[in-house]
Amino acid sequence: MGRFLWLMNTPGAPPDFLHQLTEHRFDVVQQYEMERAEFGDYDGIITGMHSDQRHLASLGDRLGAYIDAGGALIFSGHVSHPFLPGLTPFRPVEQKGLESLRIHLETPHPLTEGLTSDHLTFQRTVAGFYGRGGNPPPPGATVLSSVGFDRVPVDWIERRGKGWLYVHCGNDLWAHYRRADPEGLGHLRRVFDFFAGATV
Amino acid sequence: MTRIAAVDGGTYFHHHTLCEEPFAGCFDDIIYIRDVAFTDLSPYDVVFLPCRLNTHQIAPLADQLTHYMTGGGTLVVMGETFPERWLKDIDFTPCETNFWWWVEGLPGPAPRIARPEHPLMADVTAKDCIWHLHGHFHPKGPQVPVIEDDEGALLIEDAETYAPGRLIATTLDPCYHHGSHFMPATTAFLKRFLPALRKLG
Repeated sequence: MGRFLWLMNTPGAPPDFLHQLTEHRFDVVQQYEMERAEFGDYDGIITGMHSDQRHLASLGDRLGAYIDAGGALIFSGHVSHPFLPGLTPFRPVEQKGLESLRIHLETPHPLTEGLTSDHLTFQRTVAGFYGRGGNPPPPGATVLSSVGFDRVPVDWIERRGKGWLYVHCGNDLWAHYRRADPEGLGHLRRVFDFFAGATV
Repeated sequence: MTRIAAVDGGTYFHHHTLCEEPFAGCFDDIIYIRDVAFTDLSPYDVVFLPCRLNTHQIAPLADQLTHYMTGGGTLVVMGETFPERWLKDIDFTPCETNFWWWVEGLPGPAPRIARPEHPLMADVTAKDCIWHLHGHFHPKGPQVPVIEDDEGALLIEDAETYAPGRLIATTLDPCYHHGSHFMPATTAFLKRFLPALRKLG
């Protein structure tokens, strides 16, 4: 069983699937409440496209130490305020039709096992939701997926100390992973299983 | 010269809309959401709250924002900030958002400019307001629809409740989509809408 801190910065509810992945525990809090959390209690901290990156930057030292000690930070969104060393602001790709927004799977990895380019590229035949550019990865990061003709990195993961930094450059990752297996939620389970097992 | 402040929630879509081209010049100052409570808003003719600013962060500022308006300021409230939860007498009905009408061949939103003489509407056409809808206001009392459709109002102005200041609120959410580099129609809307904020002085 993994334990995750799920950060919100909207007044809505978190995704329903958190209640379905009963093998893991998700503590859902408004982002600013994370200041009172003991990061070390968590296998992963999840923050998304609505996150206040200025606030995350104010906690950069704590987050960096947490990752180094074995934690995982899983971020979806465009980097606008680099809140950890090695993060670089978002660079959009030029949008010139569907293929300019096609998502390519790059390095085989447990996090993306079983997913296809079409799973990630399309939502009801429309491309662009998953990623429209990149948060350039630091040297040594493993690129999991890319977008467009130039295969700009969209998802990358980097080992930092004993922990992980996982960056997804686009709308929140979860809706696409859910749609790829809406009944079994297999792809979602794989993500949380990975971080629960990888952060001993 | 109309002085305009925008409130930045620290999100990437706020940053891109408020701080980067082509709209950075539409705002004189950017105030971080967590600094608003410590900021004197009275020097500003217009305070702009962009789309999806977290309602939980705005609500504790409601008294300050109300005093800003009754002191003569214009508060512009964009979509998905849910002003009915932190201002009085706002009647809002959310709707099932159809993001896909243009894919499915269904009729899309059908807005009208109800007050073409309004300074914010100087360059905005009904067609500019079409991408999708999240809900409608139902104007009451001194609230006047500026953009509307058959279901209700998409942008309202209230120049009496907070006189000598005023409230302008919309259910449209262009800052979020433009700021996400997604949905060019919203960029086109903002190109006509944001420069007109200077006319609100």
